[in-house]
Amino acid sequence: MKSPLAQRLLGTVPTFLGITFIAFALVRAAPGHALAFEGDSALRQGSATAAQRREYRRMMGLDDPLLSGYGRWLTHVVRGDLGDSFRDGRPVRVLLGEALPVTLLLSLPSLVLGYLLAIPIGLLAAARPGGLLDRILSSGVFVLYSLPVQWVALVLVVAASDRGLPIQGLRTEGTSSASDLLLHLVLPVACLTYGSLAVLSRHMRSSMLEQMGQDYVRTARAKGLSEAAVLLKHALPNSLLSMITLFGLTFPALASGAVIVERIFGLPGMGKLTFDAVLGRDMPVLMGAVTLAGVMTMLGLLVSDLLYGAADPRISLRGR
Amino acid sequence: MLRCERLALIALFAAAAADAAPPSDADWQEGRLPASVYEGTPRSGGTLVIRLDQEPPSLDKLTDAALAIDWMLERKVLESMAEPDAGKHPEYPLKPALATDWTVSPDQLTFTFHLRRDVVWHDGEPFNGKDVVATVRKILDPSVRAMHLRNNFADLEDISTAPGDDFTVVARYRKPYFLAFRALATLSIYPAHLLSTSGDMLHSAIHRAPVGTGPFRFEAWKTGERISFVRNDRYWGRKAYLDRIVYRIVPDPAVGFQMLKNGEFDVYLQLQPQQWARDLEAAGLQRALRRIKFYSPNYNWIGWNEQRPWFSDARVRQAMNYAIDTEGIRKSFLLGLDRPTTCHFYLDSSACDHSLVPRSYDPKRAAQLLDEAGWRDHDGDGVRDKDGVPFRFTFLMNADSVFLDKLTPYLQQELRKLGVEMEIRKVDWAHFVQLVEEHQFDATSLRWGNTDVVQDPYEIWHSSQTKDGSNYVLFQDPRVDALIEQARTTLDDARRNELYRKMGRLLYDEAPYTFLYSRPSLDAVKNRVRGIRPSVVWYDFQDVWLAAR
Repeated sequence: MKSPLAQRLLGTVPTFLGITFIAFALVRAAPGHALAFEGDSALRQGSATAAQRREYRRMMGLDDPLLSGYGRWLTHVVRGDLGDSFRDGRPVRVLLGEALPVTLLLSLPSLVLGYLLAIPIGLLAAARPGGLLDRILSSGVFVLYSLPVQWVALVLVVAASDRGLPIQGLRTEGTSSASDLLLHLVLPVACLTYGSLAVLSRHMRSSMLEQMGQDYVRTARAKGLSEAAVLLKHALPNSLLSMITLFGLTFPALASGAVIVERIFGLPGMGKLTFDAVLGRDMPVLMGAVTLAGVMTMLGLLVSDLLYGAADPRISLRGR
Repeated sequence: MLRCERLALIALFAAAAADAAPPSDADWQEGRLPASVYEGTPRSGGTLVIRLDQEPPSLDKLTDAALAIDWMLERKVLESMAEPDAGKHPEYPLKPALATDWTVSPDQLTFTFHLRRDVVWHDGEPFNGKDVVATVRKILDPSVRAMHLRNNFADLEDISTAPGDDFTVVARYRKPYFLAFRALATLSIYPAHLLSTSGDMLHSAIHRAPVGTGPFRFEAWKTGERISFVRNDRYWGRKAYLDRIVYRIVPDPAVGFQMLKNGEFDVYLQLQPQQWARDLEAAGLQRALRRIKFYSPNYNWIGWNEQRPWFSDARVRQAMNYAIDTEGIRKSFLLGLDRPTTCHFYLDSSACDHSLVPRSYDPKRAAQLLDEAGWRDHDGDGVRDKDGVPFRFTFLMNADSVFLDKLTPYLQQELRKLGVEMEIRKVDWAHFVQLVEEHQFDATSLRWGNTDVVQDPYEIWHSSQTKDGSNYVLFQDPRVDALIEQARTTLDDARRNELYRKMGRLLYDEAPYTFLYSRPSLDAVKNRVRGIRPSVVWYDFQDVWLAAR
């Protein structure tokens, strides 16, 4: 008997093939040369002839037919080889291995922090819908949501550097203490978190309101429970279920990086890697990033299903 | 009021006394380093922290043509047999480096280099002529991505060490070519013992961790953060004063500037024009920093595709010149920092005819030239036309260019006054380069950059290069072809530059490009940095030392 989990995993194979093939075809179809960007419309004399570029395309296998190109890529991937970057020749695996930890260092704390802040905000807002607190919190998170991150980041940079907070990179050279790392994380994590509060807390609020209209809440109130107990003991656990769904959807974002925040704070994460790969048409890196994002998306859905099962005994992967 | 002034004066004198040689206003204005930078007794020690805005793809000159690699490695980590003499502006003749001397045969086909015998690689292996031979062979190896260097050795017949003498290198060429000698002499030499196992270079350790013979050796590269070098204490020449050089990669200009204000950099590369011209003073940094402005060989241009109906006539191209107020643009958009040029070569070079001044803004003359060329508004729709073709073209630009973002709407407006319609098309860099290379544009703008003052215009202006070279605008003129060909075999600098000045005059009249400006490098260094000297071949750090705080 096949386990349902194995069936679920097997079902992801066609999805994976679909995602990667479409990505491969799109990347190959994109116009433009694979080359490094020198900045502001400058070409170096002696390094930019069409003949050289043709030679380069041939060396990088960009002239192969689409299907055979994809086939070759796939057979390498199956063997755990994502290819080598066009730009710097290093294995894509190594590049992802460098960038992913940086990104996770930012995205995990930001995700946790986002949930930790958004759940109480949503809860408080839902306690008295339309009340003063609800209106203050809702407009507060929307104001945050609408602030452009470039601007916020620069304001934070100026404010923080006057107070001696580090504004660039992950570590002060020569130190490896955890507190140094934490200090470096303060600004970027703040920038990554504040915008997510609106979505998460609104979601929490509406999910709470939905539960508050349910019969069991009326029953709980009827038996004379305090409002706090009704909210925290009965409505909250049930409304968290939908937050789990949301978690499954935000999971892939954990690994995709943030181009702007990474650039401003000089953090070499997935955002920078992917963005540079797009600009430079660095196909293997781009495909590596797409593959990773695809895997994360499928994993996210799986994880949220599993969490669902754990949180709600009525739902189970094993079926009834 | 008076008291305040007096206090301010006292503060000023106190500050002046604290710094032995305050920068004079003129030096600050011009972005010149004052003479005091080169005074005093050098002291050893210290780390020079440099801001770099873009991380290079590798530290491998053989596979990558990124300018930042040359900046970091040439004459610092990797050395060549000879190097441009940075003290001899603007010709930059060669002076001995790994070679003590050399001879050129009377037929100009054989070069013989005599090498130093006291040089060791950073890993301790001895250096000799086999390293030179192996480096050239590596470049000629078709499996190595060295296309940008291979051109220079197209006519090389053979290179080897002299029989029984590993310290003499003999290179023979099939035909005389003026650049052959300089290209070989200034080629950064790689260690043969590491090249032999380096394959296509991309997968070898020296791709990112170069091993050279220079005054500094590679220390570490932390991706996205910093690249560092330390002093080579076994250097054959005078050892460097600095213990260490650290390039910090800070891409964002606003964050970089904030860090500069906080005193985190000794050398700040690539300030934005606005930052260099205004923000430094506004931040009160005149006493802490010195501004540097210098011009490397580069110029930007607007190119007119000569195969398009509108731009096949030189008079139309000249009219475009007259229609653009290049001086006004320079002063307003570029804060007057860029230098106007009409020349393909390094702007101070004697290959340039300095009597050719940019055509001044003259819309009347432009209209007259368009009329003469037959572009009149025959159908009265407000747009000039000729043989039924309206004068309506598209300007292709790279979407990232800040300068073109300002220039193109202005140009559009100016041309509309002349009855010429211009549309603007923005594409990303990778796509842009492809379109330009395939000649799929009516008009466009780009910048040519180089790291040496001596260069061959063949790739850009010879008619044969419209197909596989960089003659993007499809310029074809047998007179220019002849001059370029003749120059290629003219090894005498003065005679060759004369040919280039002739070529320059033809280009000026034919106006295939509207030559615009040479862009300065806008940098800043801390006061305590001494002995630093910018040049066309960038900075050398061997003579740099840090004054006591």
